[in-house]
Amino acid sequence: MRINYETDPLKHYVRKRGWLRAAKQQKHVIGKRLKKIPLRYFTFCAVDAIDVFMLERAGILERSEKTRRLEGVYFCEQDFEDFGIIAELIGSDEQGFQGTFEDIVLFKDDEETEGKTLENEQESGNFYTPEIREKLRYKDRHYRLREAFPFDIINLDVCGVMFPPKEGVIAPLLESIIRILEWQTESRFSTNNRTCDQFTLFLTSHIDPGLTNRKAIQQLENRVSENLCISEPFKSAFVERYGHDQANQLVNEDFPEFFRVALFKFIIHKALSTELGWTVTSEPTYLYNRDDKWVQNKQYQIMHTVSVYRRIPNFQKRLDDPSRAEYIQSVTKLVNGSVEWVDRIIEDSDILRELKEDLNKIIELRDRYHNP
Amino acid sequence: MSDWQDIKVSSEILGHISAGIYRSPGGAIKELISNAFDADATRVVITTNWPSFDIITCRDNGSGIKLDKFERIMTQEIGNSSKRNPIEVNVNDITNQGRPIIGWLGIGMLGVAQICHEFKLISHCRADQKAFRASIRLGDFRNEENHDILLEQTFEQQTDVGQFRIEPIDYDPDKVGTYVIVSDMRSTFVMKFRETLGTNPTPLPSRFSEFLKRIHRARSVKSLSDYWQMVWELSVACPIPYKDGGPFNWDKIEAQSELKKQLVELQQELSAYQFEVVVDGLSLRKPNQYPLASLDRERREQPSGKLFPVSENVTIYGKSLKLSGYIYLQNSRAVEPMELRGLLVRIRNIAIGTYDSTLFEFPQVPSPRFNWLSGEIYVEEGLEFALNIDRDSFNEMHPHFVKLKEVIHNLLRETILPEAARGQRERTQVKYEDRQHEKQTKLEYLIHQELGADYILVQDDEQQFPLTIDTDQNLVIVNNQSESLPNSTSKRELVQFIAQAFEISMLVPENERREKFYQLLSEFAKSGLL
Repeated sequence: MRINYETDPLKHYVRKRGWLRAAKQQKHVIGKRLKKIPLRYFTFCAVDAIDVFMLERAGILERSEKTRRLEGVYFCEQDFEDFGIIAELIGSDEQGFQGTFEDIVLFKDDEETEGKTLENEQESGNFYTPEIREKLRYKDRHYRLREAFPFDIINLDVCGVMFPPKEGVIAPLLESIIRILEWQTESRFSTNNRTCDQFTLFLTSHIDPGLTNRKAIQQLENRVSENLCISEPFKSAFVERYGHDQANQLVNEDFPEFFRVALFKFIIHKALSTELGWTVTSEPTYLYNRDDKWVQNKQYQIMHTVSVYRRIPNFQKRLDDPSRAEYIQSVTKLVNGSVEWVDRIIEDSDILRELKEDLNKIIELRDRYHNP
Repeated sequence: MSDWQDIKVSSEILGHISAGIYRSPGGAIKELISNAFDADATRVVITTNWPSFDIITCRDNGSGIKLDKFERIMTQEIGNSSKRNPIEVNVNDITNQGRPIIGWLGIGMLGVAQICHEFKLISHCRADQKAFRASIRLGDFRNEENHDILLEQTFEQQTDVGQFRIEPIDYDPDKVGTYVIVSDMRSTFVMKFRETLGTNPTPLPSRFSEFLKRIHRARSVKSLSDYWQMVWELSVACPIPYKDGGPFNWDKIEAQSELKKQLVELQQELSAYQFEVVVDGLSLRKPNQYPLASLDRERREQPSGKLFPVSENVTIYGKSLKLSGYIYLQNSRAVEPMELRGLLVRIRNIAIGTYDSTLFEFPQVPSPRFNWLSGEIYVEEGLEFALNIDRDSFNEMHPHFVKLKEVIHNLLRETILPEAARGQRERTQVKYEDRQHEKQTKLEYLIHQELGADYILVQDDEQQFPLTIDTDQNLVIVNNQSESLPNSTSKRELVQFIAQAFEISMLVPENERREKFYQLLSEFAKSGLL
């Protein structure tokens, strides 16, 4: 049974306490831009689009005075049917990307698509086969998405585990996140030709060791172990928090916690690399069990992370090597970062009531546009 | 999911499909909207994923299609019997909600072939409380090999135009209706729509009045992009209400009370359908506004106009042809935007094609007065047989269409165009007289300034010179017919003013005359008299 996000308090707690708070901070940063550019938001909002309307209700996403449409909202949706419904619902000035996110981001030309585009079929003198057209659609969306960068908030609220068993060790989604970091680094806002100096990434993943690629877990575990050996501050923080310095022990004792640290450690390392130059601050992480208490489904855990990326000024011109010290600092902070178990928190009836009321107001706002 | 099955159509239909039966993508989407209207939908929502145009969706809240009916249409009926058989057409064909049936279900669906290679259709049918999802894959008849196959078909044969497959899905009462998703777009469509957007594309506003304002400023819809053109065509074509309850500003329009009543009733009928079409968040209305107020309200005189009724009720070869409607003549001002110039035929409230600016090939050299005309002809009975398969144009040799042309041409020739000419002459005369009056007033003012308030201006065609000043009787005598004046009106006026300056300067001492003369010319120029 599909989760009804219009009534689900678990997810909404994360939206309200995690995403909304981070989005407000990001909006504050945007307010300092010399030329006013609406906040640019990329989302996997699904058919309910509650995140979009929550941000509108909070004044973070804006409607154009001319068109009365939401500005700066881009979305990705794999399902055809849902795609059309989201397009109806958001009615954004911007556009949607239909397809598998990872396939759009990681598209690479092959011999069938090299030199071809969706638009130049007539010029080529050949009629493309359905298979080539499908590839070219992904190519088209890849370039259009690339052009849409940079974003102020990227909400990768994906379904499924980060490292599926059948994928490679570096799963396509993780590879896509790295590509996104590259695009955020290189791109400039078309309206003022400035780079994006701070953005926020929301990342959601199912946590299920049974459904996670064993090799990937082993690799993450090895990386954590290496760090524990070579970095005293990291080891101290680790021991302080978990009472030991063994990565494999953490995998067995508390997989979500291990996954949180290991995944972010990987991303922080990449973000700080010489080509990119971002520092990463992890905000609280939210975890909850999906079980029959709220929805009829098998039990699994969901992890939502919120992290803020800040560009290191003149990173490539700096003669010292800031990355090492900043990396250690970031990873140590990450270990010390707070984790909120949402299903415990919302046992408080006041919080639950507040969440439901808030959801109702958001849905009311959304339906005002959708069913005027 | 079922296996792929062949879609059967008659070869005649296939020819049209392969040739691109619709003039524009708007024509293909119009058919989906017509199907929704016939399914008693109250709302149809279309999205285009502007500015990518890589996915178009059309979702309605009508009654949905039964699975067996869909299969029958795909395998037997396209171009054969269809939703309505044109041979057995009956004016009383109505939907459960009492709407006149306007679409052709099968052809309507296959019309989408013009803009895509494949599409999906999801139906949740209220009647049998069942739902299905179908994928429809269309053949490519653009290459020579397939075209040859097409040419080998005989007229009566059925042939395959593609394949479809069906998957039953769970019925959801909240999703009752039909949902068409067009994803595998044809490159020509995508290319054209993107190219014409230009470098700074304009999204649709969410208010229809803003949409019209933007078109009004551009003066032509086409100049805004193919996308805007498509939205415009849908707003003209669909059985939706007019903007603001009606296209006519009755304060500015002269019309017989009977015609006025008839048009008000039509507006009420359209509103009663409670049918809404939304494209990319813009709820459409019929865009006609007569007269369209000038944007430059202060500088330009606001246009006005006159309505002429169109009416015919005749039987031709045993088939009834019943028409009503109007032709609007705008007084000496072209109708805007230009896409509204000409005549539009509506059968059961659905537009057939776009406004015909040739006035159904009116046999006269086109004159600017044609641009002052805009009309809608509502066909109550007949003309269905004259429709081409695209339902967007007519077989011009069909007796009903020939009769329609005759009725319209007679009306234009005998009543409307003579009225346009007479009105223009009258307005030109009035304008000329106004201008003369204005000039005379200014001239008198200057004479009073120079010669004194007791001087008066008189007309005397017996005087030798164009202008004479009688200082004894305090008269300025003007002869507009003087032989000394040139024939051209504007030159004659100029000479008169120079003569005026000359005669007044002759009244001052000789050593001041030259200075006075130039001073007066300068004043005349400043006051607009020269």
